[in-house]
Amino acid sequence: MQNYVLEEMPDLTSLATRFDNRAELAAYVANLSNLPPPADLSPIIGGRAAALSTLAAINPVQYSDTRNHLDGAVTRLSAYIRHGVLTLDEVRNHALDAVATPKQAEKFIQELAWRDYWQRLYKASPEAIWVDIEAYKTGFVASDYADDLPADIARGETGVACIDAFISILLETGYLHNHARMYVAAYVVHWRQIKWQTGAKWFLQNLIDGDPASNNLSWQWIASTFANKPYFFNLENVARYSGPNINVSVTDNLPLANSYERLAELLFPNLTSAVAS
Amino acid sequence: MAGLIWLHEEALRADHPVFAAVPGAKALFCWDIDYMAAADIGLRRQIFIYETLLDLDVKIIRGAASKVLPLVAQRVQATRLCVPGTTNPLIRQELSNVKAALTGIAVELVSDRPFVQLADKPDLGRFFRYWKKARKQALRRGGV
Repeated sequence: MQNYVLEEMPDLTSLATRFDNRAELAAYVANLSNLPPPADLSPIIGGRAAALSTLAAINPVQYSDTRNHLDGAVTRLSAYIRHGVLTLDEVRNHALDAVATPKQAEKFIQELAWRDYWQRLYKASPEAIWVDIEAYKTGFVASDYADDLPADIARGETGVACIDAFISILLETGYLHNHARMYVAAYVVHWRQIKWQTGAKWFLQNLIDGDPASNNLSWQWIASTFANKPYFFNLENVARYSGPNINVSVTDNLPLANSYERLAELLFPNLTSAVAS
Repeated sequence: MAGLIWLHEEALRADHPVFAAVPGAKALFCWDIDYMAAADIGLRRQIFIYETLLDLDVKIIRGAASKVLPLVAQRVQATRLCVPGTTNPLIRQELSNVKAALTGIAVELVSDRPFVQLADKPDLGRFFRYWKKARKQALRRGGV
């Protein structure tokens, strides 16, 4: 081990490593960026110990059965994987140890594989993740989509109750269930006709697990610039997966309250044949 | 032979292979708010990263890597700098700046453990083409 004392280098500033509590740490970090401290601390705790504790709690079988539900047995490992606190390899190995046969963990491992897939695409073309991989299949061209994120979306005040609830969760915790991310992204791109890049940047800025590859390429999948058709949804779908804490009343979510066929006509009027989610 | 490790935000754990590549070397994390802004790393994620760094034997120094690392390398007469492998163009650009500022020091990128080890390059055109190639290894311990 080399012996040197960085504090003796006046042109370098060593930062603090001891704090009495998380709030003190959060205020310190905020101050480094000249920001006010956050009103609430995220439930996602940093560190290897927290990562291992979260990993120990996963249930690959339950995950497979319930992962699409907002109150399902999702793992909340993404921030740890994103920042290398856990590797995909060790998470997969842990999942295999938790089941009787690999087949029981296949859905869970397939989700890990999605991340590996995104990373491989990223490695193949690092700069390309901000560029439309393919043309939109929405009947519109890229220039039809707006560059700026409207303030009502940024604040979670769109007037569409479930979307506002999801945005609120994102802003307050730095985390959002993947299915809710898909709803918000589809709302931004298809209902509000905002460029996916704008939404992707907004997510990156607010998600603790924000990963350029997984995030951007998922937005491209929603937008249809990396898929054969656009992803969209209706209120019935939100009601099916959201659980009791999300307001899915028709009157509070009118733009979403239609059949898929009618929504396709409304959202993609230039298409000659309707697309389905 | 003195070594240094530049630990960046994509490799925040003590058993990353970068530590084995240069045993006993001091690890530095450069807290660069300009990088955070450019990489769209918001406050909540900054807090998560900092909280994670507290678990590690790493010195957190304020400033850009291209400013901090040459000063430290000179101070400790480092001959090697090891860095966790990354695709991130922003980190790779900063690494180029670091290399330009260092003379006579070997810089090495150290890859993490892979999820799957595939003999042939998979077709990345769509996920399920990749999955068809990777599934067998993905369902095995170690991905081999």
